[in-house]
Amino acid sequence: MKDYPPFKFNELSRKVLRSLVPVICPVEAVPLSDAIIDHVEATIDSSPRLLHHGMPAGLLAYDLQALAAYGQRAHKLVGEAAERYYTSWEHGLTPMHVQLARGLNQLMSMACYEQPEMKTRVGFHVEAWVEDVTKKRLRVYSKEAETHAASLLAPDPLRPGVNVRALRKKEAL
Amino acid sequence: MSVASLPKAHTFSAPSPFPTSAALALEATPFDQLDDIFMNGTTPDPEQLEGWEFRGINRMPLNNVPWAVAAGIKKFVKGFYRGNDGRLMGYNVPIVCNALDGRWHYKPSDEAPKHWGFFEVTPVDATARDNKFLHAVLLDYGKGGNAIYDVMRGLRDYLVQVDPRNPDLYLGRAYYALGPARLGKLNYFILERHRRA
Amino acid sequence: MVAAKAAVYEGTAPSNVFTRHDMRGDTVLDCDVVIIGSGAGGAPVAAELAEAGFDVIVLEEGSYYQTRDFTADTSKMVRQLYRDGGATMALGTSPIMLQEGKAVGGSTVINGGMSWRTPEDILEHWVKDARIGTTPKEMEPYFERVEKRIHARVNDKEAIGRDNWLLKEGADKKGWKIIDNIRNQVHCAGSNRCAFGCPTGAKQSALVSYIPRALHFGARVYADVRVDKITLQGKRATGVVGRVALPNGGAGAKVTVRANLVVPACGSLHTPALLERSGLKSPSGRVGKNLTLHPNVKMIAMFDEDVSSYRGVHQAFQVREFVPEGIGTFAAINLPPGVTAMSLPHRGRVLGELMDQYNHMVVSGLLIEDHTTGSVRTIAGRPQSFYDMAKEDLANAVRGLSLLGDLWFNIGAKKLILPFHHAVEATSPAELKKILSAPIPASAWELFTVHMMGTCAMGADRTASVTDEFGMMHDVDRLMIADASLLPTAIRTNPMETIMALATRNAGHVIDNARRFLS
Repeated sequence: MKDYPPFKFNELSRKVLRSLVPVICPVEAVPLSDAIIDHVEATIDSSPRLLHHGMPAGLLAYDLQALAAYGQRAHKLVGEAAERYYTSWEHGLTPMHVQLARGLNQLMSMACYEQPEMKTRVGFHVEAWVEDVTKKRLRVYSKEAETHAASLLAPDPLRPGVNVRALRKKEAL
Repeated sequence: MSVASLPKAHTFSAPSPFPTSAALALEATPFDQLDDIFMNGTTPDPEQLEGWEFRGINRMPLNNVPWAVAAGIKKFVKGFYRGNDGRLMGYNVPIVCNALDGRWHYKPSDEAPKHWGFFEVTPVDATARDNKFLHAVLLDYGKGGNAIYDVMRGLRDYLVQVDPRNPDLYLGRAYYALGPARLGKLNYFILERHRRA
Repeated sequence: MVAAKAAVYEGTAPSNVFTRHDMRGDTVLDCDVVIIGSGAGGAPVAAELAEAGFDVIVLEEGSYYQTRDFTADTSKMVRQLYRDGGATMALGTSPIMLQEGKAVGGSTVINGGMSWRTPEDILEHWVKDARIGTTPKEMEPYFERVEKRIHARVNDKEAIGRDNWLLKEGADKKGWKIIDNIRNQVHCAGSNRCAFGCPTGAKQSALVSYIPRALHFGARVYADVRVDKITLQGKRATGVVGRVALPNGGAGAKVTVRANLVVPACGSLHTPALLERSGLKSPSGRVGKNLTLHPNVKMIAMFDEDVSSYRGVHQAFQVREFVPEGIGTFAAINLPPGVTAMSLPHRGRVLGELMDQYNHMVVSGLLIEDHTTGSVRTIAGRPQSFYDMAKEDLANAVRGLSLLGDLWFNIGAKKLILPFHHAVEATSPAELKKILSAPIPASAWELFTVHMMGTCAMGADRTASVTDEFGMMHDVDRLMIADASLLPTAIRTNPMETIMALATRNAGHVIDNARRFLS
């Protein structure tokens, strides 16, 4: 019997991701950086295990490759330089560069707009809406819902007259 | 060649003494196409076999080499009968190797044919060693009561009905049991309803 | 944040639903029929056979949730209800995102609930090509039965949101055929959360329809069980062995089920992988081949008006005008902000500006009836799909986008966002035409799908198909497949009802031959 611990980013991965928040997310989301990174972490946790190793490795590569072009690691890049460096991966030489940049964009954009503050900002008030329609449905249609629920438990054999319990008993005799 | 393109055989109420064009066409079909026909055969109904003898033609690999003729086994007859213990059984009869489309003359004579190579006929048991084709029936020579030194004891034939609409024509595939190993496929054989056993 | 956890509350799960909490030690179970998977295929088989008196066990890798567990927290729902957190892909020139459910109820918990019969010409094609008895007339009673069970109906008009009315307005203006969608719902109120577990209970997924019925008639459901392989005696399937699936992907106690009939219903990716892990081969060599996907592309139309498309039922209408051309259907779908942002190739300030217009967006989808077939291979025990879209299908996608774009511009859309990785936008019909008439590399497409089909196709020919017409695997005894992998071809429409109807038909075959499966 063996379970794995929940996936956690190492400190370096978190630093790289934090430096990417202003690049990938809109400026309003920068104060939510930690929550965004936590969200990405949770997403990776439920993804295939290959990604548990692949993502930190990809982030390490992203961090180190900046040394060649900028003389410092990616997590230390800010502003225009961080932007340019990420763009160079988006249009990268190898599919690995492109896929990592694309994957980070997807994960972080999703994490960003899953934050309650950002949902409110875009006018997505789904909780209230769901509550509203749920109440309305129960108020107007509860009888029909109950009728269908009852029909789900009513006998309606696919092959009327055939019941293998009876057959089994008969054969046992 | 597809099953649909095979000419229909006669109904078995009045079988012809000669091989039908369907049987001869099967004999001339390339081995790999016989694989397809065999795989798409249906399970024979034992009741359609019981009490009848079937003309057999062996279809060896490399059919142009007349080794079956040389060995005298190109033509044969298989008969099926219900044993006293209720099991469906079968036997072979050697046949004179004349022209393929000629009559089947029993050896040593039509009046006193030699019955040999006995086998039991059963549905293929998925859990048994001989379970290669679940849609076939198994002709198990190991359970036919053949003498312990009889090489025929090692034969394991799988038999399918070629066309579900035609209970007169069957295709068999032969294997040989050597302990737990199975050698094969050795050959195909075609069976066609011949006469009452 | 903690990873997905089963949300079964103490004492509230039905007594014959078992979860990882009930299986702390190795477990051995006996039954007549073990079903692996509880979705559109497995659940109907379970309900029908349980009602006929069979002792049925359903094993499900995902967890057991109830309607009250489905919240508005999209990403939590994705992590809980989607296989691999929704991060599954078919590899090819342009990777295709595959979405599959992993919970009791399977993908029916996360689908849009579209309930369409198999088109009659496709059923006839199967009869002719695969030589199976699925004529429309023969299938009719099974479709009817399924529709009754899942309450397949058109939506209440008052629950339809503005995005769908816009689609209808656009289609009507063009004079195109647009039809009311039929969905498995009892007065869906339009929470538009179908893809994340229906929070109102209106959607009649297998979780709230077939599974309760199966439980009522005595079936047992074991959630959180990952089946490793089918056990065999010779060529007879005798049961399965698996492990309790632990929350972080680990393997817990061993679970052994001995059964007279084994029914893999794990979907088009996992059923072939299970067969392969079990050493089961088809004489046809077609296990895992013939994968069809109905690739989807999406187009976002921006309007001046507030659409708030999260308010209203999911896919109220389908534009069917171009079905004869192989383009499939157009529909309006809502995606929550996180998923919308994820699907946009934009980032930074531009992403922010676009997302600030979230309530002005209409997301529309285009389903392609594919001519491409891909494959599923088992790598280290896990399925990996491969699929390269054929030129013909890509051409249909281009044509579909062009038509859909026309529809949106014609009713006042200000801008369209196209499904290409390089963030292409069009602000006028002329611009759209220019973009779509230029060569688009296959790798530029952003594709997704929820319809994986065909990897254990049924047919009469043992050398060309994996199962017979009732899902019984050729050349294996006591093994009946009951999921989308049976479909011999793509079906051009949402496959849930087809899967359920075929599964019901398969269950009928088992009942008709009951004696065979009692010992």
